[in-house]
Amino acid sequence: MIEEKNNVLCPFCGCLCDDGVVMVEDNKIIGTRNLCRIGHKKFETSQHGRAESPRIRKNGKLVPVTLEEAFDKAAEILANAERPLFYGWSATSVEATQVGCMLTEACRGSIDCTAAICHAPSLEAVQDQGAPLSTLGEVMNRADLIIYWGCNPMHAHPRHMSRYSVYPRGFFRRRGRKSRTIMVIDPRQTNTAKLADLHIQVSPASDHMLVHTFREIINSYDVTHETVSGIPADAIRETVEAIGQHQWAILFFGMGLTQQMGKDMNIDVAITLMHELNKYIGTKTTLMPMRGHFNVAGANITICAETGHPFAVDFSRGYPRYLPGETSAMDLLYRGEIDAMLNIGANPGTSFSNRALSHMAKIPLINIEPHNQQLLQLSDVVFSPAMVGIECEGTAYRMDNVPIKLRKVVEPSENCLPDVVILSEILKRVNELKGKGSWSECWGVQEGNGEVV
Amino acid sequence: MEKLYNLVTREERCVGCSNCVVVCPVNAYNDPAVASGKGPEQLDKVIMCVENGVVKILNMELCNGCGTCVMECPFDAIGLEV
Amino acid sequence: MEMEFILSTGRSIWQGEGIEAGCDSDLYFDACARVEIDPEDMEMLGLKENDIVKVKTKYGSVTVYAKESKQSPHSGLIYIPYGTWANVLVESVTQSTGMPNLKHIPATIEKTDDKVLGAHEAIKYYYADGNWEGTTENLKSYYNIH
Repeated sequence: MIEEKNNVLCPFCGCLCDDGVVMVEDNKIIGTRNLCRIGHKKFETSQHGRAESPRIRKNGKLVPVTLEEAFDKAAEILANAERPLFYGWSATSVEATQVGCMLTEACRGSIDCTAAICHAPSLEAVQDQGAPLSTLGEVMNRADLIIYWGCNPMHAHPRHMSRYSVYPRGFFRRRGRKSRTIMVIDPRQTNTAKLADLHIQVSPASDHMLVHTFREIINSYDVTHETVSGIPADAIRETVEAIGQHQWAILFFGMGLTQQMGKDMNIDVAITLMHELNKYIGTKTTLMPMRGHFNVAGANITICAETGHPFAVDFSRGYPRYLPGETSAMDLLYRGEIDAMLNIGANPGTSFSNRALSHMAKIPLINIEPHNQQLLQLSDVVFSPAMVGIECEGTAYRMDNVPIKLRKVVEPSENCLPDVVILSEILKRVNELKGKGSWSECWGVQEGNGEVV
Repeated sequence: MEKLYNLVTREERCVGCSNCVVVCPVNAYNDPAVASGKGPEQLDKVIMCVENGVVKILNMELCNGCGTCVMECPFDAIGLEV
Repeated sequence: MEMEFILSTGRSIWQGEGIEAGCDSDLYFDACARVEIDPEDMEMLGLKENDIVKVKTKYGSVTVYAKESKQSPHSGLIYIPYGTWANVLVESVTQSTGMPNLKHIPATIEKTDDKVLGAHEAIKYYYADGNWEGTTENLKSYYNIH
């Protein structure tokens, strides 16, 4: 009998769409409705190709073992490491990240999340300049100018335009698309740019100069060169005038600004531009980073609530230290400082750069991931967890920092435990090995069904 | 009355972005959930919805051939055939 | 003749679908083991769709398929979606921000007869077995502006 589960949250990108409908028959997912291509693929393949039990690398090959043996081996690796790294936390629940922070503190290691290769520069710029933020609901109801700078929502967040920002009819924007202006700034003519009213095709690696030129005009200086970043000066003047004629603007930005040369300085100057638009021009502007994973905002918020800093936190001296460039994952790995690593809720095999992965090949790696990623070739202990949002519950934060609780759709198979339980078991054994007694009891973590008391 | 036009979908190009579903004036008029960006709740009153990650035509007889969905699809995954 | 291009890496919807389908699937391989080139540039280089090319930067080189870009025109810019193949070519140094340099790296393209490796083979060949201290130049990190 086919059962339709309504209001299912999609655990893929930062949009965290909450209107999904999943069709389940006999504990198997057979179809979805309202979810985009990627969300559907995640639900469709969630039950295929899963390992039946944890695996450990013995004599160069991964062999299945019992849960007890895998927990013991993982705890032994982490307890004996001098400088372990705990990475990922973006595709798992907030409750699991809390246990992860406790585990990092117990092992005196470093904790970092996938923001390291995504929006870490944005967070650093926000620490310098502040950030005018809003929720996606306010964008839907109030925004009449949407600027997409260095991001391609049609490819990375497919339902963003139709669910939150462009097409819905809002309280003050009752005509939907017709009451808004879309501006896209990107060096390629992407599929998003094809839908825009204005596409500014900057030359690659020169967005920083364009933002400064906008600021020059707002601060009553004139553009000094004829072309800036490949755009003629007249076009820039007209753009700033057009921005000033709108009532409520929002800047969505992505990897185009954070990953090119300039990194956090690009976001820094963009935030200053927003402040100046608010102060001098009267167009109310806010900004929002387009977070990539469904819970990377949650990972940042949880690590910050537990340790005081949003990412790249190092406990090696016994207290939390935050120094991006010294304690962030990429730097620790490519300088060769790490001697053990735990990866959960992330896919570094597909997103880490060359020198980082080549160092990971030399150290023991514990991998908590449901599918057969290419990182298996480098892993030493592999756990297969219950997927958050599909097989177990958890809380996640959307890209505008709104917390929503993910639901359970199907039952997991027998040896697939939730992330919270796997991490708690490893923490219990690490504490025993280090002779600290049972910390998990005083923190109130309840093992068994994965719910944190 | 026989219609002179037909909506065709090219599923291999569709990414399931729901632009066509939300921007369609008939969908928005008939179903308030769609007007505010969510997925349709009254499936017998909307022309198309996104099923299994791609667009699917449900009730062709409601379509008046305005072509707004075709204009707002950046992947050319939906078209009006005369 | 080797022309210099600017290489950018990023997301694409087919790459997202490929990741969720599993990194050992055909969807992932088709979506990520490719370099998307502007149609005019392809004509100038004398390449056809699905030719095998070697993309080389200062930090490494990788063999992928050449495809015509559907998000053109962007003459002078080539695009490889995120994945095991793109990350061979990027700069790991973070300039003290924690973020490596993944966009806008100077690169060259040449035609080749090598094989394009699958995801599981690529991670071992290009990363695990490779001798990274030997193949990349010495790090002159803080003033290395390209």
